[in-house]
Formats: sequence, structure tokens, C-alpha cells
Amino acid sequence: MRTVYYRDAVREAIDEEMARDPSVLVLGEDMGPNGGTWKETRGLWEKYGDLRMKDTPISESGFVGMSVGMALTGLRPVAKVMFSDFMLVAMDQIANQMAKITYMSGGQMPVPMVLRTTIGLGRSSAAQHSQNLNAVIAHFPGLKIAVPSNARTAKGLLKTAIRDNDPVIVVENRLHYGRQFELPDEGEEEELIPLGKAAVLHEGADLTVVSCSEPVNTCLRVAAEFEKDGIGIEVIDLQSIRPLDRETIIRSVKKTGRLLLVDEGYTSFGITGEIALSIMPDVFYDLDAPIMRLCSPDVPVPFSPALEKLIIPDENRIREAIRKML
Amino acid sequence: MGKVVIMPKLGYTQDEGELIEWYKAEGETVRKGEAFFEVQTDKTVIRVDATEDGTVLKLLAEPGTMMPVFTPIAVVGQPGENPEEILRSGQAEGASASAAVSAPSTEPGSSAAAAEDSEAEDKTIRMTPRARRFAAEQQLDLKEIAGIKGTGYEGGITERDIKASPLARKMAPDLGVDLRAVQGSGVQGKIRKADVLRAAAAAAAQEKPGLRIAEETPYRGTRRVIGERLSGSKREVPHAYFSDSVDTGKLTALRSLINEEGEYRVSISDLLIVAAAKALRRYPGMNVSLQGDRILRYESINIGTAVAGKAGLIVPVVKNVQDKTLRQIAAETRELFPRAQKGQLRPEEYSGGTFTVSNLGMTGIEDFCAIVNPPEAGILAVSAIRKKPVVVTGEDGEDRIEIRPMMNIRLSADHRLVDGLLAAQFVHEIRRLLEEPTLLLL
Amino acid sequence: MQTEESKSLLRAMYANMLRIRRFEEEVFEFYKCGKMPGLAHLYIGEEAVATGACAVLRADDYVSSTHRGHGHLIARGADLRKMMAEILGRQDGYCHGKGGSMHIMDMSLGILGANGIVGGGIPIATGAAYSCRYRGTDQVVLCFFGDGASNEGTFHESLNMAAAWDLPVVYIIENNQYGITVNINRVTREHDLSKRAAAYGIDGVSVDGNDVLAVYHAVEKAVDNARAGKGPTLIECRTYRQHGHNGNDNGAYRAAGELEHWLSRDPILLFEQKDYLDPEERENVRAQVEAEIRDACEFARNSPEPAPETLMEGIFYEGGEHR
Repeated sequence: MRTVYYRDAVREAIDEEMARDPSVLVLGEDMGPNGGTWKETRGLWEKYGDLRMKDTPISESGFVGMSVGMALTGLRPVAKVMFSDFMLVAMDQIANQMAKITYMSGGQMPVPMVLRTTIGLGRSSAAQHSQNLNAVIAHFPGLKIAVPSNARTAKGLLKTAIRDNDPVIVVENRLHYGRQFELPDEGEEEELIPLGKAAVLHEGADLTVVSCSEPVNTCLRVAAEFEKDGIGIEVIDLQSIRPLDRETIIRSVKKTGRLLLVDEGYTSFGITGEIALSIMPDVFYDLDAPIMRLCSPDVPVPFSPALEKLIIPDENRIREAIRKML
Repeated sequence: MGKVVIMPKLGYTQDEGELIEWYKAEGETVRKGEAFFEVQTDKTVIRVDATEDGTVLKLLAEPGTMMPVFTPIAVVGQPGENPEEILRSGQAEGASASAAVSAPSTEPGSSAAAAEDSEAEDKTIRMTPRARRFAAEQQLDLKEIAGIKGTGYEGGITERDIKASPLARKMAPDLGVDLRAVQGSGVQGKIRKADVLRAAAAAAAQEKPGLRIAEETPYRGTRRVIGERLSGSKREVPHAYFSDSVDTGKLTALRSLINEEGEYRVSISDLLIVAAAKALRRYPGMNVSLQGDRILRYESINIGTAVAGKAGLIVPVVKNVQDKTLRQIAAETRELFPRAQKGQLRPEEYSGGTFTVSNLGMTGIEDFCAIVNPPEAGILAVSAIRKKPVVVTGEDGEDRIEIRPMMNIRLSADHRLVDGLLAAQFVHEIRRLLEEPTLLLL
Repeated sequence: MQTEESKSLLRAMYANMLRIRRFEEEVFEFYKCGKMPGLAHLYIGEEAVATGACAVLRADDYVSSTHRGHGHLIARGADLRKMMAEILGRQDGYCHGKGGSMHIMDMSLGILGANGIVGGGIPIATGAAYSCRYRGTDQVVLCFFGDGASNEGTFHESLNMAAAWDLPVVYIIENNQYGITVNINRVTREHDLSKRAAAYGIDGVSVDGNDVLAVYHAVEKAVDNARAGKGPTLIECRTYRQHGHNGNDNGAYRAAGELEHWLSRDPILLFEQKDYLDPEERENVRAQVEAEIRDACEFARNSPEPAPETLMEGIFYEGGEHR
């Protein structure tokens, strides 16, 4: 194992895929000489040239739509929408075009493209630069959505996404780019993490916690604490929220009888409610407590750190939520 | 139509009882008057007899579970009858559900009320879906569950409230671990995988250096009640011992004479009861009991006799021996002792003693010390009759050695209540009565 | 236009305009008698735009279309049977009944798809043009949209990027005067829509969209430039939507005499008045088109409805390995 920055794991994924497949190109704001907003594509413009590492104007609808056109005509574009919030600007292209063309055309054409975007609470980025819109994008049939929680999954999921024949939105976390994680050594067999597969990162028999992105890491710390008290918390990293790996969640809940869903998105009409209800018929008689959730409250993300910290599902809030259910 | 057996209310203040043991398994037949199960109240362990003949169709309570009084614990009926149906109609009947067991001091009125209460509770019981499924799978009675204090979300009853973890349950039989003997370390004492593993490891460790366990039985029920009573006695009561050796030549001759006459039969035990009673009458200071800060001296002379029963030591008591003839006593013990051996005594038949005789003569033992059975003040240990050389002073004043059938007796006395002199006099009196047994017939 | 080659082109263009006209008339018939589900956005009156523009293209070029897209698809050579079957929501349609009138697509003909969202196809066409550049081919993209879409953000975003990077795409505004029921003059100050090209530093031209040859020549020049790497062109084709926005409406929004004026300038009528083809030849073409249309309608009518088990098919690509 080696220790790498998350941003470098992302870069490795893109670099390896561009080297492997000449139809792969990158476009988006700051993706050229700047090397990515978070330096996650540093050096690739120099390596692959301007046509393959394309800086776009600030035209999210335009360049996402262009990516659809590229995907229909033999390319595998990897577009970057800097902040999750900006996907809303490009929503017609994402939801009406990218997601639906395959079905609308009667399955004639794949739309093999990747849309990278970012989330991440805790940076005082306020209401238009902090939203977790996973629930919004996950709502549309035809999209696949990967949400890595560390460098290994960021790399493995992105590589899989680029090779996938359907549109995949990869939701990275801004807090992770400058953080170091463990990654298999270079030269080892490349890891392609399948879409639609969740991972049990910590086993336990008393309660299941399901989450994605940064809260997964928070949940792991809380689970380690509970373990000292002899309480087994099973932590599941969704890795993909669409397709949703219901089987892994169901298997765990059948074991523990208790499910807490943790998400940084808004509480109401979010992915937690969806997961809970989608597994309910399978786990109803296994439940020993109501399924509970811990999300951001239904409020636009506030700016002041004093306020923003109140909405983050942190260790204390997760611990409290677990205690309430045990 | 079968009968629903309920947890009897055995004491005025009792509102729940722990089911200690079933004497009958599902499918076995049970006869009226036969011991059916054993219940521990907050005060004592009580055997409960069946009041109907029938087949045990269903047992609804596991040994070791606390059950509110009046809740169904078993169904007795004819083979082929549906226990669920009987249960339903039995519950509907309410008070009549108690008919299948003899339940001392049961109050039928409150029984009906309680049955109605738990009926209503059935519907409103807050229980998780998982717990409900478990209850259904295990065919647990919801009324039984209704009494459980839930530890789940907002006080709901969860699966762990009624069982060990699934993994623990699954592993236990494979590892030879008895879950009832395992202390849970999980939340609210839930038995978890780790607990089962620990129990299995402890058992394995115990087995190691040349120490093999043949059997492991839980320390509970009658044995535990007796055990706690004895250790309490040994801790609290300053025991003083007084022994003597009795020539039983005339005693056995008298016994043979009576038995040969054939009007009734007596045993050595009967003669010992009479001897003890007569000695107590002469030395009433022995017929006492320490009750808190008061010493009671009894008018009644109630002699208990230690009997080895099915589930451990049991002490049937012959009451008011001072008013009874040997013949009456013999008749009483002939009825009482076999039932004691089978564990079929009612609580009043083994309580209320003022003095105990423990006769191990039939075992051939030379001598032993007994532990005082509180709150009594003394117990007489009686050993085997053995032929021994004894120095006898003849009428001519000459000492000579004779072979005599000798028997050791040893009094254990509560030295707080009984002084040494009194105890010695009492023992001597017993010896005198046994060596001149015609006195017993006076 | 007097060579044999040009004669056959004129014949083909005439046939195509007739084909579109007759196809749309049959669609409207199906619509009126309840056999066509959904909405019928008819291309009647605008046939010269698609016909003239597509006549310029090579087989490997791309076309992106709109909600009023039947004409573009027919001009590009789409299978009339599969089109009509799709419009009726049948199993044998282009999209097996999943897409309908507004979502017909045929990548074998380079048709990037009709599009239900006004302005939705413009960035997609632009991306296809980037793809041509990227792959180093000299393919060209024709991007059709209406005057309504020219006021969508995607129009500006796309023209800006195509211009910045000299992408091989020709943007064709079919100015049929109406965005639904609103006349373009009521919502836009500058009525000469091709002037917008200047904002992006590219060529812009406005032509009579009912004159098939005028369209042809304008597009031919633009396509040549695009193919030569000289970047995009914006062409405004001024035409008229003779029918309502979708299906039928009473046309109360039209100015008095407006419809009559445009009917007198009907693109097929204008073509016939020019006597490019003699009456006998025109009659032959008509008969041939009539046969094609009858065959397509017959095929569509006889095609089964899609089976229920196909409902969830094709949400994701199931075609196996994709290069």
C-alpha cells in the first residue's frame, strides 16, 4: 500500500484511462493549463494537449450538452461541473438529454460519458456552493451515480465510470482532494470498482449505518468507538447510489434489525427516505427499531462556520442517533 | 375440552413467579395430584400439582422466565386437541383458566380481571416487527411478552428483549453452550456471539488439566433455595455440637415387636420423632426460634425429618407431635415421606417445623454433623447402628465388654439460643428415651 | 442548374418536399382520427428548409433536429415506415414506441435525434462537431432549430464555443415566425436573426426559407467552409408554419391575411411555378411519393403495439460492447 492524496488518485484514474483509450477526453472549467480546480488533473493538459484537456467557457448547459453529442459520436467525454450546485444550470442536458436519450431512442444508442462534480460541507461555501444534490440527480432513470468516500473508491469508481456505456455522474468530495488515503501500489493490478455495489467497511451485529461520501468516514470513527463498548455497528459505504445495492443493505439489516441512514443532503425527499422505503418490504419483519436517518436539516446551507457546523452529520450527531436506536 | 394452566398466585403479595422447572414435557401424560411444575416466588420454591388428568399439549414458558401471575403457562388436554384453540377459549373464559392447577390462596376475582387486562394489552402491546415475528416463530404468548419492559425505541419491546442474538442462538448448540447459563454482555444483557464464545472457551479451559466435566447443571430451583438457606445458616448460626452413643438393642426390639403385632408399622424414623418430641417437651428451651430480635418458644412441637427427594433435600414436617400417638405419627409419615421423595409436598407440608431429625442410619455412616435448619434451634444427626464392643457394668458391679448395637447421635444447636448444659441434657434425654423405648409409648 | 446532375438533384428535392408534405398530411389524418397519440408538430410549409439543407450533406455528416423534426428526418433519408410506426407508437418504429414523434433517432444516417426540448439539441450538435474535429474527420454537422430556440441560452453557449474552436457545424434557424403562438416580432427587437452571428465573430446569412434552392446554396457555402475548417455559420431561413403549433389550433394569433400570403408562397408551389421539372415528371414523382406514403402508413397501421415486457428495456444501453 502507498499513501496518496485523493486528488492524485483522481488524476491517476483519468490519466490511465486517457492513455488506454484515445476516445477519452476531458472538458470543463479550469481543466486545461490550470490542471483542475483542485489540481486533480495537474499535468494532463501538458501530456495530452488542448483538444483532449479542454477548458470551456462558463457554460455548463453548453458543455454538458456537447458531451452528450460527443458521446453519441464515438467519444468518451469526462465533463467536470465544478460544484454540484452548478448542475442545476445544466439540468436540461443532464436530466432530459443525457439520462434519456438511450431510452427515448428505443435503446439504439449508448451515451458513454462521465460527469464529475463535487460536494462537501464544512468550507463556508454557503447555499450555492455546498449543496449535496445526489437526491436530485438520483431521481432520474437512466443515470448512474457513483459517490466515492476515499481515494481508492474515487479512482476505482471513476475508471469504471469512464468505461461504462451509460452516463455516470461521479460525485467527488472537495474535502478529500487535499487528504491522504491508502491506495494499492502502482503497478499492481488496476482496481475497477463496480457500479451498483456497496461495501461493508466495518462489521457489526447491533446496528447498520448506511452512508456515502465523507459521512462514511465519520461513521467509521463512531463505529470504532462503539466497538470498545462491545456494540457492533456495521458501516456500509454505498459507493453507488444508482444503481442502489439494495441486497447488501438488506442483508445487513436482516442481521442487525436496525438501520440508520446518514447523508449530507437535505433531509426531506432525500436518498435516505428512498433507501428506507425501497428496502422496507424486504426487512419489515427484521426491524427491531424504526429506520432512522440523519441528514442536513431542511435549510439552505448557511455561510457562517458557527451555523454550518450545526447541519453537518458529525460524530456527535451520529453517536446520538445510534444511541437513540439501541 | 382441555385446560389452560396459569402461573398461580401463591402468596398474597405475589404478582409474578419464576418458572423453575417442568416435571412433565410436552406430550407426556400428567395425573391429577402429580407434581407438574415448580415455581419460585419471592419467598420460596413451590411445587404445583396437576388437578386434572390429561396430556401436556403445550408448555408456554421456558424454565427461568418470570411470568406475571394468572398468565397461561401450559395447556393440558387430550391428545390431538389444538392447544391454540384451548388457549383462546381458556383466555376467553378468564377465571376458569386457573382451574387446572391447585393454586393456594388464589383469588378468582382478580384472576378474571387480570385476564381481561392482558387481553386488552395484546392489542396495544408496543413491539417491533422483528420481535413480533420472533414471538410468532417461537409461538410465544403475547401476554407473556406484554409483561416485559421494552428497551427498544421509545420503550418498545424488541427481539433482544425476548432472546439472545440470532448468531448466539445459532452458535450455542454447536458449541455445547447452554444459553440459560450464559451472562449476556450486550446492550441490556443481550447474549451475543462473543458471550457464547466466551462461555465455550471457559468450558474448554475448565476441561484442561485432568479435570473433565461430566455434566453441568444450573444452580437453581430447590437446590439453590436449600443451598442459600444452609450457607446462610452456617454463616449466621454459631453451631455447637453435642454427641452421644446410644445402645439401640431395646429400640429395635420394640420396633420389631410392634411390627410383628401387625396392627401398624413403625420405622426408626417414627421412633426418633417421638423421642425428639418427648425430649423437647422435657426441655422446652430447645423448642425455640430466633425471629429478628425476638426469641419464640413454641408450644407446638413440629418435627421435621430430612428426606432425600427427587430434586434435593426436602423436610416433611409432622405437626404437633406432642398431641399424637406413635400410631398416628407412623400413619402420617407413611403417607408423607413417599410424596416427599417424589417431590409432591405442598408448601405447608414442609414448612413450620420447630426441630429436625436427620437420619442417615440406612447409609451405614458412623457419625456426621448436620447444619441447623433455620429458624429452628437444633437438628439431630442420627447415624447408623453398628455392633460395637461396649464396657457394660453388670448388676454385680463388674465391668465387662459386651457387643452392643450402638448408634451415634449428634445434636447441632444454635448456640445463641441454646446453652451447652441444656444441649447436653437434651442429648442425654434422647439417649435415655431411645435406650428405654417403652418410655416412648407413655 | 441545367446539367443532368442538377436535374436529378432538383427531382430529388421536389420528391423530398412532396414526401414531407404528404407524410405530414397523413400524420395529421392519424392525429385527427385519434390514431396518433400525443402531439403532432407538423412541418408543413417549411419543407424547403430541410430539403435544401440536407441535399448538401454527405452520407457521413450529422444532423440534429427538433420537436418539429419529421421534415429533417425525411430529408436525411429516414425510413418512412419506421418513422410512421414510431409516430403511431408501434413496436416497429425507430424507437420501438419509446420515443414517439419528438424523439426519433437514426445514428446510421447521422441523425442525432429529434428533441422535445426547445434548444436542447444545439449543444449536442456542437459536441458532435467537436467530435469531428477530435477524430480528425471532415464531417459536418447541420443543426436545425427554430426562432424560438434562438432565444434559449444553449443557442448562445453553443455558438460561442463553436466559434471559439472553429467547429464544423452549420446552425440553421428555421424562422417560422412563431414560438408556439407568439410571433417572433413581439419578443425580439432585432428581426434579422442572422445578425446574431456577428456577436460570435462568425458568418451569418438570412435566406428565403421557402425557396429550396436559396437554402441549398446558402447551406452549401456554409458546409464547404465548415468542412474546410473555417468554423461555423449561422443561417436564418425565413419560412412559415402553416399549421398550428401542434395538432390543430384556430390560428387566432395570426395577423389578417398572413396565412393567405404565406400559402401563396408555399415552398412546393414556388418550386412548381419555376418549371424546373415538366408536369409529366412532377406527376411521376407525385405517384412515386404517394406509393411510398401509402406503404409507410400501411406498415405503421399493421405494426403491433409494443409488448408490456419491453417497458423497462433500454433504460441503459443493452447493446453489449460499445467501442
